Amino acid sequence: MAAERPWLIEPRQGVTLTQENCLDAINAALEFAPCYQPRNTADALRAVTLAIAREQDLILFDTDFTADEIHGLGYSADHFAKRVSLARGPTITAESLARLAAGASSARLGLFTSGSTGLPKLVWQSVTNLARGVRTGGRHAESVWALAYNPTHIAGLQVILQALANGCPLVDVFGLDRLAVLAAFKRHSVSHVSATPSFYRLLLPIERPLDRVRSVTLGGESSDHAFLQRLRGLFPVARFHNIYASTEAGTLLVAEDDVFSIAPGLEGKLCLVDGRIHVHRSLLGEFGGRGQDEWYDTGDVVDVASEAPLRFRIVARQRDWINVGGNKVNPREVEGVIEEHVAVACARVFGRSSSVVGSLLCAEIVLRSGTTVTEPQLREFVGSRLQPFKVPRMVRFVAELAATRTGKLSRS
Amino acid sequence: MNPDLLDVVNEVRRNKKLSPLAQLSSSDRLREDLGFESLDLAELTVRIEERFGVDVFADGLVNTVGEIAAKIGLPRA
Repeated sequence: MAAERPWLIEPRQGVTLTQENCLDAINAALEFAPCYQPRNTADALRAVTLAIAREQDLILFDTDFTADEIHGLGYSADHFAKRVSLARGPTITAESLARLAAGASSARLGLFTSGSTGLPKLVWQSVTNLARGVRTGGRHAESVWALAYNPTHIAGLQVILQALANGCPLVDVFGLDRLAVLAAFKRHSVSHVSATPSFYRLLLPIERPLDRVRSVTLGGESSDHAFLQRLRGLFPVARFHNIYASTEAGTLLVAEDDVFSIAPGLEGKLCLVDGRIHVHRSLLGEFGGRGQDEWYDTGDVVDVASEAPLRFRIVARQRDWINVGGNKVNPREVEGVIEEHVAVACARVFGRSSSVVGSLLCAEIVLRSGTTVTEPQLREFVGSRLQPFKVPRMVRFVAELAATRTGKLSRS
Repeated sequence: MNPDLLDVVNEVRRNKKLSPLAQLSSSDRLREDLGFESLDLAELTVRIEERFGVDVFADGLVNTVGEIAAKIGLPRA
């Protein structure tokens, strides 16, 4: 057993959790809290590892949920105080934990979707389903993974499972600012990273390529070809995996660029209806309010690149659309146009609630150093390329873009 | 009329490539006299809210500069 191997590196506090103390805690645990709100990533990792190893169901609340939000979801202090006694089982070793994390555990994790409209909803995911994309063996054991997602969200858990299944260290970079992320990548020789396009956007413009990174995964938001090309400059030797996934269904599609096709095992379980991705219910986790429909409409819109074989681009995730006076705006489209301007390093487009038109389109822009452009000039630039309602009406120049707790660009 | 409100109106006009106004009068109509359509009004509202902390359109439409001034508590010109 790799006794002193780091398990979680927390650049924020300079703390390292080792495999050894994590396994000791698992084997010594006598009780288990099935409803848990971790305070930080180390807490989350311990709770998830314990649930997987002792095969207990666990509801995970976001680290930053307020007491009011938790109350609004129907949970009280009583739910958190409840404990389940654990039966003494066989001793968990690094090897048995790896096997359980790779999908053998019967545990389920209860997660809340980010809930862009209304309340977050609880979705149960089995470890088996979450671990569908986990790869083990060979060089996977030598990987160093950056954890760039909230550890209580599905994508963060997928990274955690991948690391647990191979005994790899995790470097927690979620919520760090640009310089801290770049420093952590360098210092800990991060080889694998999975994050939202927004996260990668925060790392631009490129000052020095991250040439130790071998694998780059993107998910959670759509990303276009031009953006992926810029990222290849930042990660010159990495293989790229562009993932289409959802909290309801887990990972569904993987592409190297922005053109997806349906993998052989998923034929008949994913289809396009009216240009939107529909998922067969056999692929979905358990959640309320879904009804008994055979197909689940994700609302995610695609642009078909070829019919046979079927290949398509994901134009926009449903939750991304912003309603401006009855017109739907895809913020990615507008961000893409703004980023064509020579002075712009990166941009975030979002809706601001308006009593006049529903949402007013706003943009935050990071300029390239040494360049300048005014708000009217930028609006004219966008207005010459897009319909008037797609032109942001409030433009702010900022030093860094803000991200939400899911690691995506904030759209509200 | 309050110079801050004039500033905000001129900011929206500048973004529409309209010439700045030297002054505002209470009776100026937002659409007909200032040349604002609904997206301009939405922009104006958000900029006023940022400056004065009041959503002037929150309880229905306002039509004149004087109505905005009243909502944000400015003395009438």
